[in-house]
Amino acid sequence: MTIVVEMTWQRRRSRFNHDWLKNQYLLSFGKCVNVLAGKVQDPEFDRERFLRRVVREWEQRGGEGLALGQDYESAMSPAVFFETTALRNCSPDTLVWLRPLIHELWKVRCDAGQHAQAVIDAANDTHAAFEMLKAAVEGDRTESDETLADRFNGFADCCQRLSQAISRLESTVRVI
Amino acid sequence: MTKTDAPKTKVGVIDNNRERRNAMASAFTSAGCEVVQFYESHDRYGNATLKSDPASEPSASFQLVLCHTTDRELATDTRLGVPGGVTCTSIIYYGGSGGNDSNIPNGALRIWRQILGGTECLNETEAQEIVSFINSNMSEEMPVCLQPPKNMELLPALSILCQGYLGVHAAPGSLDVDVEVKWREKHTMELVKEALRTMKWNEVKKEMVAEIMRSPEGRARLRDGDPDARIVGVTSPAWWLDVFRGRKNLVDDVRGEWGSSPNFDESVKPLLEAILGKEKIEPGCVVEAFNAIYHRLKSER
Repeated sequence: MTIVVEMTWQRRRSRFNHDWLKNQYLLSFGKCVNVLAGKVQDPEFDRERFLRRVVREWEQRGGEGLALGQDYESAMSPAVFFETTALRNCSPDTLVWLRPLIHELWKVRCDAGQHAQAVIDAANDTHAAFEMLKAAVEGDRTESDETLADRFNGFADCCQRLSQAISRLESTVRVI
Repeated sequence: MTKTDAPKTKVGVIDNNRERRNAMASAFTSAGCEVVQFYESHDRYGNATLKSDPASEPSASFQLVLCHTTDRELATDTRLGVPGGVTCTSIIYYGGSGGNDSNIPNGALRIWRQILGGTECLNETEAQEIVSFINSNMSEEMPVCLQPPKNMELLPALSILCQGYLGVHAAPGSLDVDVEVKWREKHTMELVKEALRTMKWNEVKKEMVAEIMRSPEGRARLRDGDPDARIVGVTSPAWWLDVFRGRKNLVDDVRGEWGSSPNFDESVKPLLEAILGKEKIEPGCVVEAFNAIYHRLKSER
């Protein structure tokens, strides 16, 4: 069941994780992983340019993953129905106990707190890995190819884990 | 011409994920269609070649093409040697965003449920419905999987009120003793226990339940009301009706959201009639409605 209220968060999730992170950003990493690992020789592949693009894109969009985790509970809890459906007619006496009850039941049913925290942790880990990669890409170029490869692979793994953590979040508001 | 003599509908499936592409193709093959799959094959240098299966497909013109949203550029790829690429009468997009993908052209047909891998793909019945719809020049009723999700309001609201009603009657962690006595009727009691399990009532920590619900007095107040404090109890039709005020045809409105699914009259209508009546709302009709709405909403996912 999908309702209008969830669209903002759901669209943000869809555009970040599905459209960009999983199907654009991470997919584009494949060739670079092979070049850095020495599995593929491709003189036309501009490694520096590619890595600068990777850094630039994450700087622009990386924060969206963290925000998805932080906003998850407030955006996807069925408690939103008290603002958007006939339940807005509930009396204040009822709202005092029914709204938190429905929210807590939902949190238990779908492990909402744990899943949201996993996204926040994965986003923070990814950003830490990104900072190390960025230092290697934009620094004084004294890093060896091996170090650069390690940092890129570390960042790619973190991105992968972030994508998987976001995938585990509910994609629709469910009352039960 | 008998049905078996009718020319097969030609369907193309464009998708770079093999498992998902095979699942989608399999549904349409089972539905009696002639299916060609298109995908991009990469060598170790990242160079792509467009392939088709079967490879000997002489023409790339179809009545229907199913296209994964992120692979839509393949539809206009000319590497197959077909001028203009793959052409078709109708195209249906699908993907992991459940129809909300920004890559889908405005107004285009799409499958509205999330299709991430092979397990979420169409089944044979859905494929048959789509083929029938396309072959009728879209004059038949649109298959459910191509319809945008319904904007439900009343069924979720009813489910939430039912959860509130059941929560008020049950102590944190277990059913209240007086509820056990009152709901002696075994069938009802079993249904209530099932509903509470579905709600995960027993897993909610006591401290998370609102203060007013923790004491027997507090719950009794919420259940039966308190005229002095002007609190309307959950057993009063007024508590429910308050939410649906202004609706002249509550039963019909809820039935509208219920759609063509069975058992509305047996499971949900009795609660609605009780809400519109003057007697106390009994647990039997609440729990029947709750369980039915649970299954109905689950079928929407």
